[in-house]
Amino acid sequence: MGKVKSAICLVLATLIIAALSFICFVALPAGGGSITQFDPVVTWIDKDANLGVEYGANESYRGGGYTATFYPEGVISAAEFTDNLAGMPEGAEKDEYAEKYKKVGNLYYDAKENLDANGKVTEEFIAKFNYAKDRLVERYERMNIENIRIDVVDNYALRVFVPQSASTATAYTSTFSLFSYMGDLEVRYGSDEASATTALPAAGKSIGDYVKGAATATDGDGTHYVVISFTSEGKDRLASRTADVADSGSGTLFFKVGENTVISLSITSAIEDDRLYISNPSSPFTAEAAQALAILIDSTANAQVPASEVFGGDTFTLNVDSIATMRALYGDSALVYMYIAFGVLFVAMMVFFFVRYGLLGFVHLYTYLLFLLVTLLCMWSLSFITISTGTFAAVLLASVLLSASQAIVYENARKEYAAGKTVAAAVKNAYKKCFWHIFDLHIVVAGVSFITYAIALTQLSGFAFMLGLCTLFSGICALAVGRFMWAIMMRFTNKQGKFCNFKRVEVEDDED
Amino acid sequence: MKTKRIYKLLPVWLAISAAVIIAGIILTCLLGFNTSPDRKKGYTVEVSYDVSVEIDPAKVEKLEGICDAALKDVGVTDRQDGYDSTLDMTLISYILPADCSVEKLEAAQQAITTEAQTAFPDGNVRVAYHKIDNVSDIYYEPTWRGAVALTVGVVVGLIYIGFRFGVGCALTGLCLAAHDAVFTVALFAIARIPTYAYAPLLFATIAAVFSLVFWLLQCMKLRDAKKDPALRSLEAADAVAYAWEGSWKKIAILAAVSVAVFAVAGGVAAAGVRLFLLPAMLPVAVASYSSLLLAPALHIPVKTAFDKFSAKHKPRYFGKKKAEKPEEPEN
Repeated sequence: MGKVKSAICLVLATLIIAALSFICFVALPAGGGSITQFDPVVTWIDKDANLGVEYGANESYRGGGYTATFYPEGVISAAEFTDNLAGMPEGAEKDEYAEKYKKVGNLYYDAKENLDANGKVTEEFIAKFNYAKDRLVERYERMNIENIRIDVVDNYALRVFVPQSASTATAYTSTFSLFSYMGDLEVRYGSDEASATTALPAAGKSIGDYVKGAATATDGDGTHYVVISFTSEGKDRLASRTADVADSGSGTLFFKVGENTVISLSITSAIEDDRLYISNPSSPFTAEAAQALAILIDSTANAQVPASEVFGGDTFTLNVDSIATMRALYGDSALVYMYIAFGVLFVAMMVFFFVRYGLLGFVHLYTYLLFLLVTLLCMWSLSFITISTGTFAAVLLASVLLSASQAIVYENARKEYAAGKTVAAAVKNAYKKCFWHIFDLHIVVAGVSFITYAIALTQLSGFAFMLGLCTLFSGICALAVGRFMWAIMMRFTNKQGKFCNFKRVEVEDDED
Repeated sequence: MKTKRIYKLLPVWLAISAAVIIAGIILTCLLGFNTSPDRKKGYTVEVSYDVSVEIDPAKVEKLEGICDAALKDVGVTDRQDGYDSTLDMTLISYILPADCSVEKLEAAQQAITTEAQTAFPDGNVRVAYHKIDNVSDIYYEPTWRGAVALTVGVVVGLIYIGFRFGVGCALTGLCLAAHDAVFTVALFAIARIPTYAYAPLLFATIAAVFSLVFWLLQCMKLRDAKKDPALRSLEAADAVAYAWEGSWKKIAILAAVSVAVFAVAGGVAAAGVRLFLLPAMLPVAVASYSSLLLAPALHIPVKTAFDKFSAKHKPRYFGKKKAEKPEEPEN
């Protein structure tokens, strides 16, 4: 490549890196209107809930997440009891209320319903609570959300923490009410909810005999569906129960979990398929909302022990109370400290390369910046990737791999040059010697990482994916980008050995 | 080529590994990992205050002072701030350990309530304490799937090594990766290093990846030795010694740089992040130990066996088979 072409390439590379750096790291004023500022890409990447950082309109995003406390039916918090009692006028009603609830531990229980003669919580209540707890845990476990947390509070209340996420906060908080629904799945059919009659299951049968389960699907234009699968028995029964829709013109299927209707589906013809694809045209499902609904239906349809067996003829509900927004556990500046740590390591790396290899450090600087910027853009565009301690560690490890690969090539070139070759020949030979070594290292790490990602869940999955992706970029940068940068930068110096801080080995002639 | 002494110490390395792994398995079964950062059990003291306090930073500071003084003796481990949208109040949640005395908590609750009422007669300050039991089942599926994922990933990586460097290298690599993953997890169980519940598997993955990388560096030198006509005839022990001598510096430098990276990042990062980054040095150290000490000692018998097998089954040329003459028809 000639000098002019090299100059053009170098200018282009500089401009691209500068532009990408601006997009990724610098907030730009938008110049008025409702949008006052363009936030850099790095702020748009989803963050781990435990890492605090303030950004967005009025610093609306600060990490952390939402908690909700679920109180079983007939159980209230001390605060609620005190407030309710204080709000009542003196008289029989207040005395009755005070008499109704008894304090056990930190909670107030409906003494008649939930406590025995000795003032202890009844075995029946404990069985119902444990059933509800298991259902709630199962549902949230199937959501596979990183950093989710479920606690039993004061023995017989539940507290769920879901992380705040820039894109999915609303969907996750809606699970608070959706997942609190207890009871069996029932499908009713009629012109309205009040007059609807039970279509599934038939009396004396289980819903599992009719409904196989529920899942989600997404079509080509991005519409999310909840897919409910029926057994052949369920399909036939549903077809026969909805056959009269042709006469009435329309009808509605109500999918109920306990007392709560979770789906109202308008139909204009009899249902004769074994699968129902349900979307919501007026307010389309997000992927997370469809997932939550499918999990709720699937967990109730396939419950090993039907709720009716545990609850008997009674209903049992979990009341959502005390919803709070919690700040990040590691503090509001945890992410800033992580950025500082990264900055310190970056400076240390560049100091090493400039001291050891002179101006060749610029080749590594350009290569590394390109690697980092492409990684950040990928993290931003892939919705399932968040900045977390795991992904941070993956980027650090891949950075070590890239720097080590570059250093191995430079050291080999240094040896070749010392042995008397020209810089061009030394570089060529160094890459020839190291190519398969670097290739093997990268392919093995990337392969292991991507396979781990494909099977694993949550934190390990995120870490493995980022390690695989960054290793892939590291391989390309070490074998292609780095070599290209070296070739174009070398064109501008006549003292190529000095440019790379390479020295010849001086051989003294032995003269007798 | 002089064989180094460490290669003869295979029984010693195996004994160390066996002792650590067995102790780790027993302790994991009995006690599990030290997942105290996940706050499996404990208490919280929740102090919420309304806008009449929140509006004045001096009042907030005073309330925090009251809380700190009252909770001084109960051993606050962490604090998480928030906003209770149901009560429309700002919330401070003090996190306390499981061995905290309930009497002390009640006394602290009473002290904060009384002092806050005196300090902010017009404000609404509420104090409650709660017993917390974390439901750990939430990690069940991620844990077993993570273990399967790691195993499959490592096996696929080793199949590649098998194709590139021979089945013997893949076999040693498999042993090393499995050893390093289990050894790392065992060390976490034995040393009771505080860690998040998800972290041991992540550290096992880091150990397996480093193990593969370090072993690959030695495999590359072994292959170089095989390709070099001057070194081709080396005995297994000498070839392994050649590979070790040609790669130990690279392994040591790579390990040192990785440890330094985790140390610096962990040193600068916030406390919660540090709990992940500093222990991440351990898998790197384990992989270095196994690559530099165990790997060569283990690979000598493996390579000897495979070399013997290859020599025995080496295809030999016996000359072109003579074409059988067609039998002459009997007259």
